[in-house]
Amino acid sequence: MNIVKITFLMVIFSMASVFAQNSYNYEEMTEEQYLAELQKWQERLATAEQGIADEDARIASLQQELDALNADIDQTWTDIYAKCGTDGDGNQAYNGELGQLRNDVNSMLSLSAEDIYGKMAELDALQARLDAQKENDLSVVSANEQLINQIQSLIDQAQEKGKGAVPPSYTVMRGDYLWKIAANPDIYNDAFAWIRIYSSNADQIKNPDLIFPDQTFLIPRVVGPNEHLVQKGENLSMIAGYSNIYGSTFQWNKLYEANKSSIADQNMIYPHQVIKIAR
Amino acid sequence: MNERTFSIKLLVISLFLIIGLSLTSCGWKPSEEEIQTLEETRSAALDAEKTQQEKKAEANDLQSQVDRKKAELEKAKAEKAKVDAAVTERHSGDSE
Repeated sequence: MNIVKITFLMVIFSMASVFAQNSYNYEEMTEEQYLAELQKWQERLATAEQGIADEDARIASLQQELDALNADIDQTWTDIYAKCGTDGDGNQAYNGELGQLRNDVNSMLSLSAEDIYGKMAELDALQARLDAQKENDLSVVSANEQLINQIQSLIDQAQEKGKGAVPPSYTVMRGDYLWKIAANPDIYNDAFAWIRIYSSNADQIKNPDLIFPDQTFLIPRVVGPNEHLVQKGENLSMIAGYSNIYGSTFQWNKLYEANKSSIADQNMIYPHQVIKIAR
Repeated sequence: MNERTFSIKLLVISLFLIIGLSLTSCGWKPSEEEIQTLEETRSAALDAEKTQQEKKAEANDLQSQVDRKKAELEKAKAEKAKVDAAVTERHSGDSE
């Protein structure tokens, strides 16, 4: 009960002190005090009014500057679109088409590898649509350029995904040669990769210039844990020195010994060649 | 004698009280009009100070908008230079 009384008294006291701070006791005020207070508030009022006038002027000036900047920005973009032979609406329409294309590519990318492989023609059509959009001058505008790059990356991803469904073997047809098979977009899309087919099918291919119809070649897509896919600029010594191979360049001979059947000259290995690593 | 002395004492005390009270009640006091003037001035000053703070915040907001727009304009100008060069190059390639 006492606590309630004390709390009540404290609240009353607080309210009284707040009231005391915000009002005057005119009964005890002398004339000098009154005049001093009046002067103080008149000065504060004058200062604040001057401050308001200053801020109003600053606001007006900034608003004017902002309007001018907005007009300059609009004009700059109008000039940019004009340079591309269109206007803001034209750019918006172009951007809408790119957005639609991105959605279509995304839908394609969400399919399984097998479905993508079965729809490679549709993927090519999407690539053609993108290529046509690239012809438009609006494609050089940074925002559009960024979107185009994004779509291109999605198409590339879809193509890569589709390649995963490519059969792991190839049956030779009349007129085929290793260079041509390797250049096939469904195989490696790179003629120089012929050596990979050759080295992976060494048991069937005695002479890389002589292959026969109906021969079935293994088309390796991945490199095994005990294999190394030769990159441009590499040699046996360099490969042997890799930490995941032998970690010592002096062990190149070990690589050579393990791959004697596919390496005719120890100083001549080729990009795309698959080297076996003897453990 | 005692009764007389007591009466004199009472009279003196009464006189002191009357004079004292008269003196205190004769001091300066602000009139109703003066009180109103001070209260109105104080209220107007506080309102004006509040308005000034609001205007200052508005001006600061505008200043940051102006700074953003300046950066946006610079970016747009750079974009224009880039597009100008790229389109010109494309069309010079076409004419070749």
